[in-house]
Amino acid sequence: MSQYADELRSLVDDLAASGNPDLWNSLVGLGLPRVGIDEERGGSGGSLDDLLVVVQSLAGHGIGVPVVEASTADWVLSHARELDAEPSTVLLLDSALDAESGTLTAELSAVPWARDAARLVLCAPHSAPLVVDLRHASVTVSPVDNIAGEPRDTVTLHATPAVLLEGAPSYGAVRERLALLWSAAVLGAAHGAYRLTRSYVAEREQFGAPLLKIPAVAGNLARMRVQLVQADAALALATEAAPPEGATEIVRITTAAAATEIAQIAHQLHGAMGITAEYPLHHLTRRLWSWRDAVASERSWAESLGRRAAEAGESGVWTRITATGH
Amino acid sequence: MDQSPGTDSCVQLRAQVRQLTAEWRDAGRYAPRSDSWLRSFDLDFSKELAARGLIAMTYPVEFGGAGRTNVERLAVTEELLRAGAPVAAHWIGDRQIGPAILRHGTRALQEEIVPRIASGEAVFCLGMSEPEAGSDLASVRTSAEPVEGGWLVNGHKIWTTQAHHATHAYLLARTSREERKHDGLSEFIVDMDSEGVSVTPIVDLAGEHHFNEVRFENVFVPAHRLIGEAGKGWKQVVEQLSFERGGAERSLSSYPVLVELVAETAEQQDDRELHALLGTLTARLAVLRRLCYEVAGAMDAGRAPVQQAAALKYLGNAFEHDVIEALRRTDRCQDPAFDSVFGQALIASPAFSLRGGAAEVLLSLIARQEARS
Ligand SMILES: Cc1cc2nc3c(=O)[nH]c(=O)nc-3n(C[C@H](O)[C@H](O)[C@H](O)COP(=O)(O)OP(=O)(O)OC[C@H]3O[C@@H](n4cnc5c(N)ncnc54)[C@H](O)[C@@H]3O)c2cc1C
Repeated sequence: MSQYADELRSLVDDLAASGNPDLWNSLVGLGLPRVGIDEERGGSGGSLDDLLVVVQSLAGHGIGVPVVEASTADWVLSHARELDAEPSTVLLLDSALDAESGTLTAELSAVPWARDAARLVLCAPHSAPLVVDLRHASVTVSPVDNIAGEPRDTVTLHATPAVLLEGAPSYGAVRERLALLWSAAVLGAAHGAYRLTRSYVAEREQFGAPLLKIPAVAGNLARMRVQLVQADAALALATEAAPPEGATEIVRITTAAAATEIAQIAHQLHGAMGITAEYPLHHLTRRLWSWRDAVASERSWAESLGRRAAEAGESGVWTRITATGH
Repeated sequence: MDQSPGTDSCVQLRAQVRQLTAEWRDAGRYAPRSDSWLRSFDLDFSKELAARGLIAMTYPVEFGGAGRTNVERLAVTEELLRAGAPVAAHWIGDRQIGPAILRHGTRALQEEIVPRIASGEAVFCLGMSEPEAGSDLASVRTSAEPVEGGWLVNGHKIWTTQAHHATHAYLLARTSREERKHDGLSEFIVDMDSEGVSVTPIVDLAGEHHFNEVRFENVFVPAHRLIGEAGKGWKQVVEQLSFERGGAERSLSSYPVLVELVAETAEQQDDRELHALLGTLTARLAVLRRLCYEVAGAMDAGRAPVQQAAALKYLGNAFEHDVIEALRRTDRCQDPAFDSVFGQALIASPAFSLRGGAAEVLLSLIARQEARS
C-alpha cells in the first residue's frame, strides 16, 4: 500500500462520520473519485492502490455513492481527453455494439447511476469504448434500483451520437479494474458488517451476559474473522506488483464467498434488530448481496478460472499461483 | 506490494526440490501419497534433503542450518508436499523443535540438538497430548520433579506421531502445581532410549501405525534438557504452535486428490458445475498459499502470528476436506479402493481438523482474540 493509505483512510472515515447529507459532492470537491488518474489529465494523482483504499473505506460505512462507476468512467475518458467537471458513469457490456454510423440505438439495462450522470462510457468486447451524452434529447432514462437501493437505470438510446474513445484502455483492462474495485468495495462492506456485529454482540445481553460470552456466538464471530483474513489476503495477492495470472478471478471469488458468509452470520447474530430499517446493518448487507456479483457473477468467475485450471493441468495451476516467486 | 528478497532463490529452491522428488519418484524410491508429512517416513530421504541444505533452512549456519528465511523454507515445504514426498522423519523436528530450542534453549542445548536435527539424525516426536489433555493442553498431568542433576519424569502421552521411529521426544510436563493450570508447565527434550520410556502402537482406522502411546516411568532427564524457563512453558508452547499450525502442510494434505480433480475436470468438458467447483478450489488454494507466505513473513520479522496461524490452519483444513468431496462429485470415486488416491485421502481426512488443534478450538482461540480487540 502507498504512503498515503492511512491518510486517505482517515480522511474518508471522518467525512463518512460527519453525517454530511451531500457527501458525494464533498468527495468530488476533494478530488477523491479521481484518485488513481494522472494529474495532467485532470485526475488527482496517486495510484490504483490509493483508490482502492478510498473505495474500501467508503464501503465500510455502508455509503452508497457512485465512486466505482465514476472513477472508472473518468479513468477511461482520461486516456482520450482531459477531464471536465461533468459526472460520468460506465457500463460494461458482454457483446459488441454497432456504432459504425456514429450513432447508437439500444436499450441498456442496469446502467449504474444513469439518472445522475451526464455521460455514459460504454465498454464492449473487441472495440474501443464509446461515450454518449446522457442528457441528449434522444436519450430516455427510466429509474430502476438494485436491492441495495442504488440506481441501475434503464437507458434507451435512439440514434444517439456516440463517440469512439481512441487510445482508451481495452475492454479487458476496464473489466479487470472494475473487478478489483468491486472486490475492494465488498471487502470494505464486509469489514463494516463485521465491526457492527462485533460491537452488537459485545453489548447486547441475553441470559445475563453479553452475547459474546456464549461460545456458539463467539464461534460465529470467529468464522466472520476467518473470512476477512481470507479476503484481505486475496486483495493483497491481486494488488501485488506482478499478480499471478487469474488474480482477478481469485479476488472476486474469494470476496464474494466472504460476502455471502459474513452477511448471513451478521444477520444471524444481530437477531431481529438487524432486520429493521432503522439499524444500519442492512446498508452493508444489501450492498454485499448486490456487489458480490457485480461485473460478473461469482459462478462465472469460478467457471472461467476452473476452465483455465483444467486446461493448464496441475503443474500449470501450481506454476501460476507460485509465479510471484516466493 | 513488496517482493520478498528471496524471490530468485525461491524459484531456484523450487526447481531443486522438483528435480530431487522427480528423481526419487522415477526411480521408484517413493510413491506420492496424501498426508505424506505425517505418514510417509523415510530417513534416507530426509538425510538426502539435509545433505542439500533443504532442512533446517532457517537455522543459523553455525548450528548446521542454512541461515535462510521462513519464506524460502516455505517454497521448499510446498514443493515437497505437492510431490507427496516422504518427509515425516524430519518434519516435526525441523518445523518446530529446532526453532523452539533456538529461541529458548541454552547454548549447550542448541549445540547438542540443533545440528542433529539439521543433519537428519535426530528424529523427533511431540509429547503434548495426554488421555486427559487433548484440546485443553494446559491440563497435562505428566510430571517432572526436580532431582539431583535434573528431573524425574512420570506420565503418559498419547497420539504421539512417529514415536516408534523417534530418537528424541519433545515433552510438555508439569514441574509444579499452581493455582492457574497454565502456570507450572515446562518443556523438555527426552532421549527415547532413556530407561523407563516405553512406546506402544496405536493402529488407525486405515490399519496403519503412525501414532503411539508413550509412557514415562521414573525417566531421568538431565537439567540441561529443559527448554527455556521452568514453569514458563505455556507461553513457549503457544508460540511453538504457530510454527506447528502456520505451515503449508495444513492446506496440502490431500493435494494428490486435487491433482486428480484437475485431470478429471479436463476430461469433463461439458460439466460446467465441475469447472466452477475447480475454479473455486483453485482460488482458495491461491489464497491459502498467500496466507502461508504472510505467516512465514511474520516469522521472519520475529513475530509468532498466533491468530493468523490458527485462521490459516482452520481454512486450510476445510480446503483439504473440500478437495476430497469435490472429487467425489465425479464418478471416479464409487466404491473407492483402499489404496486409491481418493481412498487414502478420505481415510486420512478425519485427522486434518484435529491434529495440531481441533477446528472448534481454533475458532475459540480466534474468538478470544476478537473479544479482546
Ligand atoms: C493423526 C494425528 C496425529 C497426532 N499427533 C500428535 C502428536 O504427535 N503429538 C501430540 O501431542 N498430539 C498429537 N495428536 C493429538 C491432537 O493434537 C489432538 O487430537 C487434538 O489436540 C484434539 O484433542 P483430542 O483428540 O483429545 O480431542 P478432545 O479434546 O477430546 O476434543 C474432542 C472434540 O471436542 C471438541 N472440543 C474440545 N474442547 C472444546 C472447546 N473448549 N470448545 C469447543 N469444542 C471443543 C473438539 O473440537 C473435538 O472436536 C494427533 C492427533 C491426530 C489425529
